[in-house]
Amino acid sequence: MTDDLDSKLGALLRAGAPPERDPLFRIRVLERRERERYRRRSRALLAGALCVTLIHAVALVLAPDVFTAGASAVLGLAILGAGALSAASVVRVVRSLRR
Amino acid sequence: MSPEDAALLAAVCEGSERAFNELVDRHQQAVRQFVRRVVGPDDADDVAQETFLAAWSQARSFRGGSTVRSWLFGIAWRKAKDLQRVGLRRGRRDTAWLAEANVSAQADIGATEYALAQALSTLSIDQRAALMLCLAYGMTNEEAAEALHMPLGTVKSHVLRGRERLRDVLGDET
Repeated sequence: MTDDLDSKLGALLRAGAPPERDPLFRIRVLERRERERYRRRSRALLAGALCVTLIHAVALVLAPDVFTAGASAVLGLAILGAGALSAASVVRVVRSLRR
Repeated sequence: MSPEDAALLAAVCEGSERAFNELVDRHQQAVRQFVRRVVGPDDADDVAQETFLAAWSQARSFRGGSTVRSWLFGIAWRKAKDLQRVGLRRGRRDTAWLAEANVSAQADIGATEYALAQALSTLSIDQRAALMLCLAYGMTNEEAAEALHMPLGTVKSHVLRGRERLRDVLGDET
């Protein structure tokens, strides 16, 4: 009697389930995973860039003779160039960090 | 545990995309239905997607003491509880289930499904989870207790009370 009731309740609880195969759901999972990966990589890149800038700034303060004005200009231009090329990505990363 | 599932998970640990796709295809229906009944339809797919993302990144944490499906239910349960905590903090989750049940009724999903949604709305999230694992997916009380990280006695009591409540509310429907 209880087994019978349990199987009926079980069938009711399983009723209206999503389809057995649902490619759309799988695609959403993969999309989300890629977004997560992208976010992680962007954060790592951003952290790396910040570290390089920081180290450079500290080095400039501690040993200004080692880093000549020319070297600083080249590095600055490289950072600015990279920033300009990936401006859209940087905006996306900053937005994702705010969320 | 099914040997196919074990092989799939081992391949997922090695980073196989194909194995992960197959794992999602195999278990998405059960995981999504479990989450739907536990947290309601609105957040269900979101929680289910989070579950599979966690499965991808934590595949190595699977110890093999249970089935892969049971392990996935355990992850889904933790995600559902996280969602409940956030919801309670926002102070909206308590009434969400009844509202969803009413919406479902308006969408003409059928009298039995409506009665079931109403009955489930009277149960706690813990009771709904225990009922789903034991009644809908045929897990033993011990397996459910392990997946839900609950004491065995608690699961037994949840299933007993949940079953009684459903029987009372559904009445002749069953």
